[in-house]
Amino acid sequence: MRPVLFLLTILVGLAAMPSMAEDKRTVLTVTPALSALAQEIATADMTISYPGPADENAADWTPGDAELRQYQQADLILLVGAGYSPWTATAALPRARMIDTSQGFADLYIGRETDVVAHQHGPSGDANHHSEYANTFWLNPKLAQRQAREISRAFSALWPELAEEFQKNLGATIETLEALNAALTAEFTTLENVQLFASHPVYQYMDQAYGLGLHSFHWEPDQHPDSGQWKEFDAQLDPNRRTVMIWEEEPMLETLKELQNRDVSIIVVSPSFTPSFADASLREKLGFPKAVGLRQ
Amino acid sequence: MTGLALLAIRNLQHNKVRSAVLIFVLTIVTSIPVLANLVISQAERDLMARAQTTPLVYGAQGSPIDLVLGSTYFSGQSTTDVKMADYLNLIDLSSFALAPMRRAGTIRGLPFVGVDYEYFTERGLRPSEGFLPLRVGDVVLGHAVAQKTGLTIGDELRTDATQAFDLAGSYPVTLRVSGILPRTNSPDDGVVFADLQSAWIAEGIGHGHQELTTSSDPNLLLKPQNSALVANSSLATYTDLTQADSDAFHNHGADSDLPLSAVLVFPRSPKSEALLKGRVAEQQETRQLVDVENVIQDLLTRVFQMKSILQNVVASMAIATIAALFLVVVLSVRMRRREFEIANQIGAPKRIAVFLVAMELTMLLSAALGLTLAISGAVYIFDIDALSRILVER
Amino acid sequence: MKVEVQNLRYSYGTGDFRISIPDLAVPSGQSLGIVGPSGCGKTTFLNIVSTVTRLRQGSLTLGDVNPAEMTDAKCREFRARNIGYVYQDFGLIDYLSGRENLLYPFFVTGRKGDATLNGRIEQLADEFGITHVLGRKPQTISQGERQRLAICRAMLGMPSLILADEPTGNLDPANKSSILDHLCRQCQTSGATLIVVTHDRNLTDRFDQVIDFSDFAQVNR
Repeated sequence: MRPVLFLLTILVGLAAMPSMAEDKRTVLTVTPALSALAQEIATADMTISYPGPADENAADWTPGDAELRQYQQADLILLVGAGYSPWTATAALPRARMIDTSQGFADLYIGRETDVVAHQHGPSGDANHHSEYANTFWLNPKLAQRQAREISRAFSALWPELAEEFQKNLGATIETLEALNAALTAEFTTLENVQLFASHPVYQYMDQAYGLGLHSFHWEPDQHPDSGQWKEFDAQLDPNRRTVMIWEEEPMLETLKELQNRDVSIIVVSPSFTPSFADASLREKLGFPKAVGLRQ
Repeated sequence: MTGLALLAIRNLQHNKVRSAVLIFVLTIVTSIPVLANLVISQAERDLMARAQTTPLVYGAQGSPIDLVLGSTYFSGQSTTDVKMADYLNLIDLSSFALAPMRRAGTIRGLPFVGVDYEYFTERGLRPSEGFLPLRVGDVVLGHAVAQKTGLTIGDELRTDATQAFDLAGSYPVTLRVSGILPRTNSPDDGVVFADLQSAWIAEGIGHGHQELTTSSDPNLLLKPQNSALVANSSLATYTDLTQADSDAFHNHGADSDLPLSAVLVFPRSPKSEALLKGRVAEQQETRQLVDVENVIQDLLTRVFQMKSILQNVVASMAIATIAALFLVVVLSVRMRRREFEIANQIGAPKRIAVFLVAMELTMLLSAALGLTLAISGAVYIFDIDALSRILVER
Repeated sequence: MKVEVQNLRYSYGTGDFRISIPDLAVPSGQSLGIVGPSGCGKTTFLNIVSTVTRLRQGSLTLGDVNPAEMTDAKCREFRARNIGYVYQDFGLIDYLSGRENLLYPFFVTGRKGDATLNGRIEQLADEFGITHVLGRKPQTISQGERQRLAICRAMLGMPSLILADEPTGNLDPANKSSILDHLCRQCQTSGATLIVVTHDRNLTDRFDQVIDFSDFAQVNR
């Protein structure tokens, strides 16, 4: 019996060898922007990926069985935190491998005032859960830096032998993000006297970082706003200023025309989408356009 | 076949009832020590095998044996909880893998255990059918559970109600079988596994309910408090975790306060094990890190003691049996005196009676030993686990 | 086999009872009937002749053999080869079939039967009219059949001396004479010497010699 078992062990071992060789360091994220940050810090032999579809808003995506199994088998799962990808709360994932990249700056979270729902189950219940926060942190490069640090820390904790390389890559990433911050500061300065609208309330951290004074609507890029929504829009329009509206995606042509009629130009900042071109810069991967400015 | 053997067989056949009773008694006397040995050594092997695949257990201060039995064999009383915060503090990905677990009552009388996905990874458990729990409400059945209950993928099952009058709200919850584990010959075979979150919900710690913001029923709200809505108790509580909308489930209180029964620790190196022991030693007032192999060795020492007691019992039984057997032999020789007289007269050796009786006893003993062997073999091949469980745990 | 006894004296341990036979001879192939009241030593005499009980005084010659000069083992071998027994209680083994009972002496003595053994069984059974009981156990057949079976057992080994101790004691009158006739006829056919102990004086006309054992028994008071 024993020799047979021994032989079996060897055979199984041999069979397992090729798959072990393929056992690459795998990191999955819940949004393309985090993948972009992680890619900056990762070494070349690591696989960083976001398994959701490229043409869908990652903030609204829920993985199916196949993707969940991918997440389960990943070495690390990078999360945005603050309620982004709510499906993670009920998915059976390896908790120690789930890294909340915003856990270090929970004190900086911005509450989504209009949406907050807290509930109590009778007087004794606990009401501190369910509150929702804005969570597109990476639109503020300063916060993106902190997320990058968290990613680097998680990588080093799991693969200490590569810590030096991660540290070096983090340094470079911080610099890139510093430069991005400087560029964005400069670019948004050109919009100082412009009234800024947002199609959706997802730009809170960018708003705060650059003092934009955004007014947010709940408009979908693939739906034409109804007359009530236009009425509300028009009520907000400041006739004395140029108006720029920030969209997550290019709106429908019809909407675009209506906006042009009102002399409103648009900027597309898409924090939760995969850039449609392969050689995108980190800036583009985080959702920013090549340059922020007035479109004609 | 020699004439004497034929005579022995014929006599045994003629006294069927007596022969059967003697074989039965001899079988019992021989099989009890053999089976006991088999079961005990199998239990030892199982215990040790489990101990060797579970290096350390972290848990609340208390009986190390209870902690080990509860967390690695899913038996015995529940031990004092530790918290998720303890687990989160232990995390050190490069040094050890951690498998936090929660024993959350029973399903059809079988242990229901919530584990982190890492448990399956570290134990090398891959489902033979279906898949490991992917979401809240998914359960994966141990091999023996699947056999015993006949449940298959997609079947629904409910947790056993433990506190029927618990107003705080521990409702039986409905779960769905997502996978079945292959036979591992370990305690994992007898367990219903789910994700930790499912275990907490089953215990009434987490729950799910309607989305208040989308509900059109104004009666659900007690009163608007600032911008927060306060729901009254008519809020529909989900007890069916199998619905697609399980994202509505959540825990009350901070995640770090959630209870765990124990955390299995799989160190990556002796150094990380030593460092962790040092860390836990600092919390020794309330926490302990137990070396499972040591605890099981300790337990096995007790088993060995039990074994020697058993040996004494068997020895006295054997003596009693031999005495009874002696009586039977004396009586039957006396009854057959005339037969032996005739045998001697027609020229049989003087000791013909001794030869015949000895041959008959040998045959009875052989039959008994054969039966013992067959029973032991059957037990060994078919259901030693069940037998071990019956004998060791009850 | 010729049986000769001279100056035989035998007493039991207590010494109160004694058998004393000055001279007795049964020529080979002849028959001897022994009569006498119960307790006069008839069975003891048969045991002496069969070499089971060793003679202390006097001489016994069986054919040309003197059992007094033989070891116990030799005596047993001699008995197995040369003497057949018929008992009052038949002496059948209750757990064996009729056929196995016939073979019982072969089983317990280790004696090997020759190629004709099975044929002889059939032949004897046929002659004694007991073919139908060969497959049955003794307790399921009649008394007469039992004794015929017992006689067949005694004859099967082709002994030169047959000792029968009250062979008709447990039989009804009709069976008595028929069975004794069978026994005598068989002995004549095979040439075996026959010694029959009986207390039934009506049966003695079948024997070549008859002796009354009360003449040999002495009780010391």
